[in-house]
Amino acid sequence: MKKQKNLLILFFSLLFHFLNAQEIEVKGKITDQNGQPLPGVSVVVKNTANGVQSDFDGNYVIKAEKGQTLNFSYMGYNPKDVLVAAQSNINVTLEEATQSLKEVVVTALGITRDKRALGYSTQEINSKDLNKVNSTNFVSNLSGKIAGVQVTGSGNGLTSSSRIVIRGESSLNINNNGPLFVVDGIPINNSVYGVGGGPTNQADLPTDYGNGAAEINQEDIESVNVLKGAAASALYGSRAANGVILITTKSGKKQKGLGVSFSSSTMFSSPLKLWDVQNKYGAGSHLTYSPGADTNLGPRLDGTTTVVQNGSPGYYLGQAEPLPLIFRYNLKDFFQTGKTLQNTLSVNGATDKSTYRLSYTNSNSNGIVPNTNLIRNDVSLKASYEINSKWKINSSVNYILSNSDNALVTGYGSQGIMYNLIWNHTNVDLNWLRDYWITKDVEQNSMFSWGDNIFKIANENINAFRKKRVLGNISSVYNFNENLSLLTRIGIDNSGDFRWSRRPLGSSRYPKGMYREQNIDFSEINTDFLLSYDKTFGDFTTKFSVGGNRMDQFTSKSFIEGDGLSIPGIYNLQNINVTPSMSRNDYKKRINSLYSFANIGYKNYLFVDVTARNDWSSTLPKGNNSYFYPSVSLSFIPTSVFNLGDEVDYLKLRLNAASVGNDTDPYRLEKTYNNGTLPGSLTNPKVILNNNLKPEILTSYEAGLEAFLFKKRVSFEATYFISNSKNQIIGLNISEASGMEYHYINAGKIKNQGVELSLGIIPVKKKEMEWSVNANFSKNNSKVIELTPGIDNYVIAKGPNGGTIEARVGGRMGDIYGLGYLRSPDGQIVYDNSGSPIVDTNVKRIGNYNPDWMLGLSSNFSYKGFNLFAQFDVRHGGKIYSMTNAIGMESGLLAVSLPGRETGIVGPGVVKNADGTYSPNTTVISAENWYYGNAYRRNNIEANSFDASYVKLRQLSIGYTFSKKIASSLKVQNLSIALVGNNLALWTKVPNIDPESQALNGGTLLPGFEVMQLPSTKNYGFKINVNL
Amino acid sequence: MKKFIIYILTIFAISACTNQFDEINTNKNQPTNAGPKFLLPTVIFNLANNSVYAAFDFGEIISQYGGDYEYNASDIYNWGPDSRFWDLYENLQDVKDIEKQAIAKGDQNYQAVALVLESYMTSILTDSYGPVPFTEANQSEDGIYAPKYDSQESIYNNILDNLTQANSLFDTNSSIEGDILFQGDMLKWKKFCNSLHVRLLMRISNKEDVSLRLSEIVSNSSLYPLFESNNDNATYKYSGIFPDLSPRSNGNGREYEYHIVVPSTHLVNLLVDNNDPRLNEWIDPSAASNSYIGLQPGLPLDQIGEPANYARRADSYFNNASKISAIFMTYSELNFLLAEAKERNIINLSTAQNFYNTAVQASFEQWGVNMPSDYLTTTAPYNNANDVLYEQKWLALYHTGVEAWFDWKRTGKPSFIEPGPGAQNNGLVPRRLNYPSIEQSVNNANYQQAVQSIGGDNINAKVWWDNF
Repeated sequence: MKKQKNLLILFFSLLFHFLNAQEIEVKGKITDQNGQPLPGVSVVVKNTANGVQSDFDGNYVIKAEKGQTLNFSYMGYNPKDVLVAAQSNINVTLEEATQSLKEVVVTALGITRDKRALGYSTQEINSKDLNKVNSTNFVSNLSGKIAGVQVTGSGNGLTSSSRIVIRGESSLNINNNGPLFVVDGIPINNSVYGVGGGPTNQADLPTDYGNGAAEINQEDIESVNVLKGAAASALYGSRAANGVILITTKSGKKQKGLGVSFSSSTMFSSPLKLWDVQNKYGAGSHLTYSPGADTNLGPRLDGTTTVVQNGSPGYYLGQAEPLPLIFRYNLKDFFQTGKTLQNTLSVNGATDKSTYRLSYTNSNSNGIVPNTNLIRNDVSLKASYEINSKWKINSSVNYILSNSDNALVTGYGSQGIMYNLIWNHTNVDLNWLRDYWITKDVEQNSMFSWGDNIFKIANENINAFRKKRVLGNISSVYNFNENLSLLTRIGIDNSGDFRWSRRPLGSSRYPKGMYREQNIDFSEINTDFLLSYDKTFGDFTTKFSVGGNRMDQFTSKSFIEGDGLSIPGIYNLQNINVTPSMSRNDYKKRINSLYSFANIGYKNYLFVDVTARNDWSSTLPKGNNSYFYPSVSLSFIPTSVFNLGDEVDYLKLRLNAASVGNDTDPYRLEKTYNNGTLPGSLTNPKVILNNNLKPEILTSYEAGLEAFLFKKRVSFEATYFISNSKNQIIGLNISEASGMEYHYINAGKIKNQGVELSLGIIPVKKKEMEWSVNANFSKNNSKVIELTPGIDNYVIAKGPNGGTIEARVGGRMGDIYGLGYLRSPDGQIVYDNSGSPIVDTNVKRIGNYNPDWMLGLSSNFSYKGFNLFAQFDVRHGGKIYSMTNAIGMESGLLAVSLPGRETGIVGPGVVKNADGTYSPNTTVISAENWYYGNAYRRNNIEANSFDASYVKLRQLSIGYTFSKKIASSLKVQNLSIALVGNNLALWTKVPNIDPESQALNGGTLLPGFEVMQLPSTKNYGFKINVNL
Repeated sequence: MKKFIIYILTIFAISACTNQFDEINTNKNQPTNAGPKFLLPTVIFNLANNSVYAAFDFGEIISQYGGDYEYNASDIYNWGPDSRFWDLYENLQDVKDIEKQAIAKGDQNYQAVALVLESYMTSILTDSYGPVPFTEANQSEDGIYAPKYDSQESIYNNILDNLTQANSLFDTNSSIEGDILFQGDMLKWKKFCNSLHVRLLMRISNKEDVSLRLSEIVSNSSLYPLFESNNDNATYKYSGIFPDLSPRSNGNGREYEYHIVVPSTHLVNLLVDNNDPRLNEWIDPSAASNSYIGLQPGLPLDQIGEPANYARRADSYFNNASKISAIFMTYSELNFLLAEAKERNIINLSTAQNFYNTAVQASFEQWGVNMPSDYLTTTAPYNNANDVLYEQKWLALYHTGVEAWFDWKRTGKPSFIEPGPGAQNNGLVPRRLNYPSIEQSVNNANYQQAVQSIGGDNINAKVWWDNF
């Protein structure tokens, strides 16, 4: 039977041979510069879909016509083109590209281009670097790796959101400053959907369920390319105005072995920084003990007093034993060691016509707060298939299931853990609070009527969620001939997030209990096409493309909450015994786009790109819903033309100018009424709409250079950029006496400029030993040039306690405003006649939450199979308001509240005399009035703000890759292990907290304000990778 | 090839197609119209909540019915910019909307109700802050985003005229929907309109001669009906069923916030000394010693001590969700006003003593407490030589918004309202609220003008009618 089959095949191949007389069979062997065979090298007949892969021995066979060009490419190696002449045997040697010499880059719309041809700044992280250390939020893994990219975590537990900003903020809408995330050419949703109010809205504190891109599975990623400026992103439209994070997932490859990979990571977490708690004084006031006191301004903790203590066993029954008054408070009695296990199993392979990769990742984390967790299951399947030599289809599907049995609320209020920890007593052993029920599900054992028991919060105040997400796309490339091709693609990001929260009866804020459900359904569908014509005219290579895209977005949010339960301990809708508040809102948006671009290259050292795009958005008014934006970029490689010396291997100069337009949110054009509190009541909205809104425009200019020096041992990149955004669509505050709070207008001119520098040095490069060092530096500065005639300031976001983030004409984006000390002309604090500092009623600028500059430093050392990698993240400057500091002073719990307990305090500064002069302040004020009674303490934003500079040891990895000998004796292709850690150390002057904390206001992250966030964690563990 | 070109062009056309944009950008989540019957409940409910918040916290403290046992910045007059009543402008937006729609439809009752509510809310604003936006207020939809501030005198002229107009518009033969205050009883609205008119005339009586206008109102009950009993009271009664609960009731507010204000020595001692049964209704004895000890107003924070040592607000008002009401104006207050008017010969009707007796009796009834038979003869008989009228009025105004403060500003009575030992503010009891700080940002030019006209945005500047 087999013989017959073989004969048939022989017959048909001979037939083919005759029919395609010009076509010859080319074969050969592909090796690396050491003569080692390279399997899985992609061999493609240029400008066709005709491609094969080399086998385990590096051999390949392909049919091609004379005059065609074969392109050999393999990740990690420089590609090669060879012209097919008469020879039928073409052996190829590929040169290994060192990390920094990656020459092929994935750019907008998933198009791969040679890096030399790009006139704009891009920077790449490959899979190896990305996967050195695992984390549960993909975005946080990008921190410090790329110049100009600022990633800030928020300290809200396992599901913490990370905020990412590229090249500074240019939007007055605080949530619109992030880049667009694109996976395999399809934009995906990175939004944060809120539930709850602001960080000090004690009745309704928000929970951080995370940002959308946090779920991206780093183990599935081949490379991440950051396109930083508008030019790089002009082809993705409005949402890419702030840059694009282009993610390419792994595809199937031919390889030695089964193609099975297994990776397992086990990490432990513990708090990175805990409060500096004072251990000298106990509960009470005026150095007198009182169990009911909020404060720790009581007597010394020297054990000489023996009293009944609030929180001790039996206290609520009035049966507590008197105990010595000593220091017992230890945060480590509450926080536990967290654990995260991540396992990935994948299988991939390729045949001549197809490639496939199937992977499954399971991630299971337990947090440092008891009873908190995060579980993710991720299945992804990616495949490609060549239908014939002209037509290739690619498809990928990614199904992500995430859930948590409990995420915590964040902010200042009785439902928050940190609140109940800071309003606690130094003589209390936190373990006493573990027994938290007086009557199960009905009455909790809480130290204060206005607070909750911390273990009850962790175990009973549940905020859980279950989210299903599908990312999928299908694309087809059809080559009409060697010049003309058509790409069509459809992609979808669809998620359904079901959240529920419960509070038992007897909770401080919900005495009758509470149960709530929230559903957020989101879907975005992108359909696009791109028609390209590729031709070489002598020394000129040209490519012209024309394309279009339709994006449809649909969001549906529903919410139902009942603040009263009939049967204790039952948490579902049917157990609600009060009128629930409920709502459901749907939002739709569509953008149609047409675009075209031209890439012209001259002799492979001079390149010009021109792009043009026009969008039509459904959210803008009819006459003004279309906006056009072009870009042009230039790249010149002088080293191809001139000899700049032996030291300079490669130099590229690049220049570009681009503009990007932007629309707004749905439903901003027609007035609608809102629901009142009572059923059947309506009320006027708080915002005046505007039928004359115009699109926003961002224009940017960039100049840069890239160089390789000293035989590619040094790589250097520098970029300078300026961008201007104008006509921003904002809700400008107006006088409340006008009946409304704000009014949508086009306003604002923001200018941003900055510099990015990257330096890579390989001081040691030997056969078995290599050491490379990389540094990324960025500095940017923004200026608010104009808002709107007659208006000088705009409140971008409200922080806690009267602090605000404002854009004021002449100021910078990210400026924090609030109340501060009244000062004398020579800058000293002015006190009143009671010895208390006076708060200046004029709001003033406190600082800016952005750092002055950022530096990422990493070092990679390898010797034989050993590898040591470390990355530091340095941020210099910036300010953060710490509410923990303010409250810790009021409650007397923190060490900062120690001075003057027994002597009183004389505040350093002056008093104003009746005649207007100043004399030194000599009034002694009691510790009670200084710490606790100082009524404006938390509202004094200045007094509680700190220089947020810090250095963090972001990642550390000590690894060993077993030699091929040992590996093959174990019957595996590759085996490596590593000890890993992230966020391991922090150096900062900010007391008590990690300066990388952000408050949450509903769904908005508020940088610059820490409002009782959870401690951030340091994570350490080990990782194993094995390929079969 | 031809087919191919057509295919491409079609895709072009589809991309550029925007004719579904209208439908996509139509907000189907909320209605585009709202008739008065939907807006009126919101107005009344928000007004009620604002009144309860004001009465239970700021109102008690400034009129020294009670004091904070911690966070006592208000008690010692360490005040800053204050937006507590400025929020009424958002409420006024709905009122103006009702008025506009009513005029367009020729609905006199809704128009009159809107005029009364507008006058009432504006009076609270101007009595608290002084000059406030009025003629240019609530016109953001006509493009006025930074309204000018009007003088209090011109505001009062306007709102008094509005009340006269409202009175003439009411049609007691028909009714309105959405009226959660008076259940569509237009006669009660008319009574409230005129009783409010009496209050406001008395408010400006030190500055202007109001005898003619006041006499006209009180002597013509068919043209100007007034409250005739506690049944006519302008009081919003919460049903107690969520969400129709007061912000200080169990199920909506927290016990901590209910008890953070502790009854003052003035309140407790006055009630104890008079053996006044309203004591038991309003106040529970202290947890520590089961006795009636009040908190001295304005003590420095570190001298206050434990709240367990002081009497407390009655738990029944917190626990029973329908007990707290929002009190706008009562029959009792009306009679106290008339008593005072007769005393000062502004009106010539009945006797001050009759009005006084009616007023005191009405207050007991209002609170559901039996007045002792000798209360008006022995305990607190009418006497125009002492402060009994003002002290009893002060008691009767318990939890009636911040009316007691406005009254004290005008009369200086009861005279026991004085700065406490820990008071800052140079030993003065404040007479107005500071404007909200955001006005300095969004309406600075007009803000500065208004501030100049009263001699500075400070809490001791007196409003126009306050020439006491």
